[in-house]
Order: sequence, then structure tokens, then C-alpha cells
Amino acid sequence: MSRILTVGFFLISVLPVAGQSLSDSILTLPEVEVFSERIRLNPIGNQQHVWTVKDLEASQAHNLSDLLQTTGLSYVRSYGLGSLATTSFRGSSAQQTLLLWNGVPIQNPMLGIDDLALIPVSLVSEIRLTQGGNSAIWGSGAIGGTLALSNPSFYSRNLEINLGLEAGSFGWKRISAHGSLGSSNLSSALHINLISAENRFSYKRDGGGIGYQSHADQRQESFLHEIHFAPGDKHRFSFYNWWQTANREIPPTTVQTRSEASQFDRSFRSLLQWVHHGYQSIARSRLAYFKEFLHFKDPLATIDAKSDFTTVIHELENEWDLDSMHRAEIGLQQSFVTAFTENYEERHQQYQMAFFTSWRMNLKRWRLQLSARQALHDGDLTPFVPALGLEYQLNRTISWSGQMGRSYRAPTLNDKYWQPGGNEHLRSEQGWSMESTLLGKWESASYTWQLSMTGFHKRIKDWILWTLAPGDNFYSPQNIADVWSRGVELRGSVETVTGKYSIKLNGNYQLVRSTNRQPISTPRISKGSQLIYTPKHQGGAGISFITKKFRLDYSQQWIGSVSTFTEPLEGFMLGTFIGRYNSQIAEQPLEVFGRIENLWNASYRIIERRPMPGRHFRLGLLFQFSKNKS
Amino acid sequence: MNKQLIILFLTLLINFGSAQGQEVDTALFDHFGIGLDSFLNDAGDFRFFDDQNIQLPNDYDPDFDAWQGWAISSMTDTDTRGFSNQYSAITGAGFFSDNYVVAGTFGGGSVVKFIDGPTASLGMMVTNSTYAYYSMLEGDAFAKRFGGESGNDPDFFLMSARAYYGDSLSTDSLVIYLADYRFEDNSKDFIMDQWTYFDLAPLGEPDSILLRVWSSDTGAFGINTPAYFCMDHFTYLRPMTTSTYEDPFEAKILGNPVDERIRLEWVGPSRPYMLAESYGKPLAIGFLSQGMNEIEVSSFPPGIYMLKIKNGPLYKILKR
Repeated sequence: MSRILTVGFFLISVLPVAGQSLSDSILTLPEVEVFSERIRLNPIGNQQHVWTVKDLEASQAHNLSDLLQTTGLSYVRSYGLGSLATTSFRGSSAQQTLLLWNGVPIQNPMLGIDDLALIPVSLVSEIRLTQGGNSAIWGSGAIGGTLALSNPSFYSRNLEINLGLEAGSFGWKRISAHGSLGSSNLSSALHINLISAENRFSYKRDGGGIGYQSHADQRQESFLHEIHFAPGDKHRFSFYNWWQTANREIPPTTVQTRSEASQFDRSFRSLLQWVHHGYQSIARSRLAYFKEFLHFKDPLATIDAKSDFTTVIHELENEWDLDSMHRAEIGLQQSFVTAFTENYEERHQQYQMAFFTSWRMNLKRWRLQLSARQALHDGDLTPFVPALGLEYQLNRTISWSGQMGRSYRAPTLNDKYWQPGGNEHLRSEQGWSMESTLLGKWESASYTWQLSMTGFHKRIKDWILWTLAPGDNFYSPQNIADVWSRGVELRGSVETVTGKYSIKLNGNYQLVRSTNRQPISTPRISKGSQLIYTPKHQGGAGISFITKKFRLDYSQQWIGSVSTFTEPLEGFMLGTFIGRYNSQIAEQPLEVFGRIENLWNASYRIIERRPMPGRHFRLGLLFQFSKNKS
Repeated sequence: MNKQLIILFLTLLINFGSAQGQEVDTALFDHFGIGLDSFLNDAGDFRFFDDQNIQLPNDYDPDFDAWQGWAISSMTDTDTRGFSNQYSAITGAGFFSDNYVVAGTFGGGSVVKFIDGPTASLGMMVTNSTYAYYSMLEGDAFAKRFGGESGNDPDFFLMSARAYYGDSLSTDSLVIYLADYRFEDNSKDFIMDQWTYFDLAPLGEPDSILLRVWSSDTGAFGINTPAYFCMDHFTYLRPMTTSTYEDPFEAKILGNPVDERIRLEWVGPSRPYMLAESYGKPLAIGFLSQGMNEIEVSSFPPGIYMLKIKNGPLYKILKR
């Protein structure tokens, strides 16, 4: 019933827009942004990967974890189908990846992470991955990488409706819908994503025999509504509301007889954005309100834990084109968090304020960007974080870019206030990182080549770990680790396009050494040892064959062995095949697609004692309806 | 005479000799007044729990209600899994009464100190905590089910005892398996669910004893198996001169040595008793009622036995 009401609410919010669109008789195209690329979203010197809405559709990924796993750009720590998934970039921790939604951090302030399995990619139109440290621009947590989800504003007069239906192995069912309608100055879109799955599968047990995953049902409902309004040439307003629930059973480990644990997540995220186009400047103001609730239950262990937090963020930024060569930006971000769990003595609050600025210079061959940020967390100064990015175009085909900067991550609320063990005197994790990339692009009449090689170095001090100090009878977070990460990333692609088809090949390899520089007794980490769940080697390759009617994609990922809390996990290779066939019904596009995961039926684990499924399938249909109102 | 009987005979001789001028005493942990289904995890400013010559260190943090070392318990919950049931023994009661003690070792070990200095410890009853028992039997979010995925993993959960003589810790240790899955034949695998005697006599006369648990399921954070065990009836020798009985009643043994049964007349109120081997290992427990009582000993081999009446005297019984 509540689901129907929610759909009804969003449909009601779309209908006035439809009415207005039909009554428009004069088309006024809104002024486009004067800046070709925004300083914060396109930092000079960092490696970026952007998925457009078409890329996201082609990937057939249903959440961020899926998307990152098949591209090989990061190491995804997935606890299994439908279960918790986090990511690690360049040997960083899960908490050192920052997740943004339309420019606002949506990190859980109690845990410092977001579950990537709960972020449906169909809700957004663009995902931008920026690798490397980026705290000077985005603040706390942007140490390993930044994932920016966006719903860019649109003002088209089209009515578009997409409906996707999917079914697959292990009781997988998914309904995704997208509807948008707009006029020249008012538009609205509604995204719906409904998932249910049983996730009961068999797996090979260590030591022989077959095990069966049980108690792994999941149900997820997501709705995202966006409305954009441009009352004149200078002003634009966007209002986003994202409502989501997830019910998940927590399956037993492979060495656990049964589990009755379950987790319920509920989140509501609302964001109001105002953009003002001035004379060679753009001002943006964002006001965000997030409210999330998590309920973990384990009747066997008599655990019934509830936690909730509310975040209010306001951000004001202004970006100027000073002249043809210089551009500058300043901004102020304030956030207020209030959070509670029974493991806190009381409801805790956190206030944070940050000032940030960037200056960019474009010369003939050089581009340079200087950025800096200073934040106050509950009145305490966090580390001052500057960054310098450089780019140099050697010739038409070869360019070099590099970045050096300081990054930090403030302690989470659980780190500070969890009872027992919370430590209010923790310092922020902080350190310097640098990267250097050589990029070559060659184009001929029939081929496009791209090769890049990146070397990176990062040293993070005051790394927070929960540890058992001598004489203590509970774990407590301490600034005890000092981690040095360094490595090399190689990427290449070649594409050929003929009149009938195109073929694209791509490959990547990462060598990551992420080692602790001092021994720690608990958890037991020897000096110079690779961090747990951090593969030294990782790579992948893919091929895409595209015709007018068909698209076939195959990717092969290779993850090297990792150490864990107990026994090492062996490396594994996974093959993924995606096929799409495009047709039409009543002159409207219809797509039939299928996806085979773990094509070669590999037996593997990403997290110790958490089984992963063998070969499994998904099949689906995507109906598209569009009507141009102009 | 088979080998076991020879060993028993020698043991009896040794223990009988060492017991000259001493008597067996047992810490029962019954005097803390905590009531049934309760626990005491805070020893206050003293930072230890006392029971006659036994001292059990306790480290309690009032800010977090966290503890390590020892806690007194009379918890009876043998069903609830997980940390919330950390004070229960899988037996649901003490060996001889409601109370027992729980050790939470957190990897460092728990110490039993002797207040009167070097003391000949004889033994103690041990069993698993409910928390550790189910964690090993079924696994949990942090620890493995013993036997692993295939059921064949040679897992173990054991307790070691090492003695402090002054400041030096013995290099040798005594060991008892609280769970043992190392058998080729999986049907022999077990997780201890009864009070079981742990013979400490080979430690001699230490100042204190360090008890520590070890598990095959170990990771970067130490052992994954909950590092708990339960103890009761810590038995040791003490000089006769320190002997004072709280109870004015005495039993009248009718015929000693005995053959088939011990016959005794008891004039006091109903009272628990324990029949033990001469070096402390309990063999039988029961209740004496007012009047004539009989204790069956026909199945026991000939030798010297100790009859201990709660809060009462200790009798040496010779079986022919």
C-alpha cells in the first residue's frame, strides 16, 4: 500500500509539469552553462572515468558494486549476491572512498561508508569516478577515489517512458521504470527500481562437497524524483527526492550452520539546488537533507540494534571565468549531523564547516590547477589540504598529467562515540599522495587507439584501526597505522568502426602495493605486509561487438590473491557476457538483453567464508516510448 | 594389575604423601549472594573475587560495562547464542551448586592466585560457556563452526594451565580440550558440555596459575572463537592448622574401611556432599539427609577417597 501511495505521490508531482508543457506555445531554449567543464568535477591531474546514461544501460549493472566489478577499475569487496559491498581504490580502505550525489556527500557519517549494493545505477544519468586523493576539492574521505552520481538538469519537450523487466537465476526479479516529461523551462523525471531475489545458490565447499546458500532474500525499492525549473535565463532550480528501502536477510557464512539475522535500511535524501548564471560566473547553492535508518536483528544472538542519522548540508560555491586563461572558484560548505544508536550514550551531533577554493590556468600546452580546503569539525581544525594538478600536451597524441595533494578522512561518529571503545580524541587520517600519467591517443581512418600508464604514491598516517590495547578489555579505535600505497595502472583500448559494425577492445592492469610501515599487534599486521583484502595484482580485458541491431560484450576480470583476517584467499577470474538485441514495436524501441555472470563457473570468494555463486543468468526486456511534444 | 591401576596406585601414594599435614579444600564460589540466574562482573575497588585461599582478578570498566578476568555467575541460559549470553555455562548450573565462575580471557589469559602463597593445586571442574559452545557448534558471524565447511577441519579449542613460581612462569603447561575435532573419525569429535575435571596436580605448588584458551580458528584479531570458559570447584591442599569448619555438625562414619557402600549418620540439616579421589577429582555428588545415609562405592577401585560435605568436615574413606 505504501509503495502505491509513493508512486501516486510522484505521479502527481509529474502531472502539473505535463500540463504546463502542453500549454506552452513558445519554445525558449535556456541558456547553456558558459563553462565547458566544472572545476570540481573535472580536476586536472586525476584519472577519471565517466559512465554516461548509455554506458550505464550497456553495462546492465543494477548497482554500483556490479558496475565497478565488471570494469576492473577498483577492487570491490562484496559479501555475496545482494549483500554488503564496498570498494577500494589504489590500496585504500572502504572508508577512504567518497560517494557524492549531485555534488553532495552521502556517506553514512556513523560508518564512514556506503553500501554500494544499495545504490541502483538506474536512478542516475551519469557516474564519474575520479581516482586518487581529492580532499582539496571534496573534503573528508576523498583519499582513494571519488564516485560522483549525477542527475543533470534537462529541459526537453520530450515525453519519455522506459520500462525494464528482468528475471534471472536465484529468484532474481527487477522492474525498472523511468519517466520524464518537460517543457522549455520545467521538467520532471521519476526513476523507479524494484528488486527482489532469493539468492539461494549452491557453491563448492572448501575441502569438498556442495554447500547451499540460505537465508539470503533481498527486497529493495527505490524511487528518485527530480524536478527542474528555469524561471528565466539566469536562474535554475532543481529539486531531488530519493526514497529507498531495503530488506535483506543476512546469510550464514560457509562455516555457520544457520542465520536468522536480517537488516532493514531506509533512507530519504532530498536536495534543493539553485544555480545562478551571472556575467562570466556561475553561483550554486545546495541544500540537502538526508535521513537514514538501519535496523539489524539477529534473534539467535538476541541482537536488535537500531541506528539512525539525519544530515543537513548547505553548500555555496561561485565559479568565475576571470579571463580567457584563468578561472577561479570559492565555496563554503556546512553540515550538521545528528545520530543515535543504543551503543551511544546519547544522541550525538557533529557540525562541520569547510572553506574551499580553486584556481585554474590554461596556457597553450599547459593546464594547471591549485586547490585548497580547510575544514572545522566540531570546532577542531582538520588538516589543511592543498593540491596541485598539472597537464601538459606534448604533441597531438601524447599528453602528461600529474597531481600532488594532501587528503584526509575525519573519524566517523562510531569511531568517536561507540560504547565501548569510542575515542573522542582521534585525529583525522591524513597524508600526501601523488600520481603521474602518460596518455597517448592515436586516431586513423579506421582505428582509434588509447594507451595510458599511471604511477601513484600515497602515504596515509594516523590511519584509524580498532585495536585491543594492552590491558584493555574492549576494542577501541586508535590512530596507529601508517600505510604506504604505490603502484602502476595500465590501460589501453582500440576501436574500429566500419559502416556495419564497430569493435572495441580494452584492457587494464593494476599493480598495487599497500603496506603498513609499522608493526601492529592487534590486529596482527607485520611491518611491510600487504593490507588485507588488497590484491597486489588485478586486471581485465573486454571486447565489444556492436551492430545496428546487436551489441555483444564480453569481459574477463582477474583478481589476484589477497590476505584476509584468517587464511589467504586465492585469486580468481570471472567472465561476463552481455548480449543485447534491438528491435521495434509500433515504431518504439524494444530491447531484449541477457547477461551471463561468472560464465566459466569459477568457484571463488571475495570475502572469507562468504560464498559467491557460480554461473548465473539474467534476461530482460526494455520498452522505450518517447514522444516529441514540439 | 594393569597399567592404569599401577598409575592410580602411584598417584594415590604420591598424593597421600603430599597431603600429610594438609587437607583438601575446594573453592565453590557460592558465597557471593547473587541469587539465581544472575552474575557479578564487577569486583569493585578490590579488583578481585575471593574464595578462601583463591583470588580471581577482575578488571571492570564502569564507563563501558566491560570486563575481563573473572566474573561470578549463576546464569542458567543454555540456549541463547551470542555475546549477550556471555555469563552462562552450557551446563546451566555450577558443578555442585548454582554458582560458578566465568573467565573472559580476551587473549591474555585469566589468573588464579593463591592468597596464602605457594599452594598445591589439585584440580578444577571446567566446561564451556554457552556463548563459546554454540559458536563452535554452529558458527557465528565472526567464528567458524568447528569442522569447517566439510566437517573435516581438525579444529580444537583448548585451555592451557601454566604455573607461576614467584615471577617465573613454567615452560610446560597442562592442557584440556574444551572441544576437539582432530579425530580421523568425526563421530569422536566433541564440544565439552558437561563439567569435566582438569587435573592440575602436576603443577606442584605454584603461587598462581595462568589459564588461557587457544583455538584453531585464529585470525589477525586473535582467536575468533569466543575466549570464554567456566570453572567451578577449584580444589587444592591447605595446611590442617588453617582448617576451620563453619558447620558444627559432623558425620558419623559407620565402618571405615568400606566395601560396597559408605554408611554414615548425619545429624545436621540436608547438605550437599562430594566424593572425590584422594587428589581431588570428583566422582559422585549428592545430598545428605538427616539420619542414616548410604553412598554407593562398589564400582570404585580400592583406594583412599575424600568425602567432602559442604561447609562441613572432610573425611578420608578407605575402600577395600
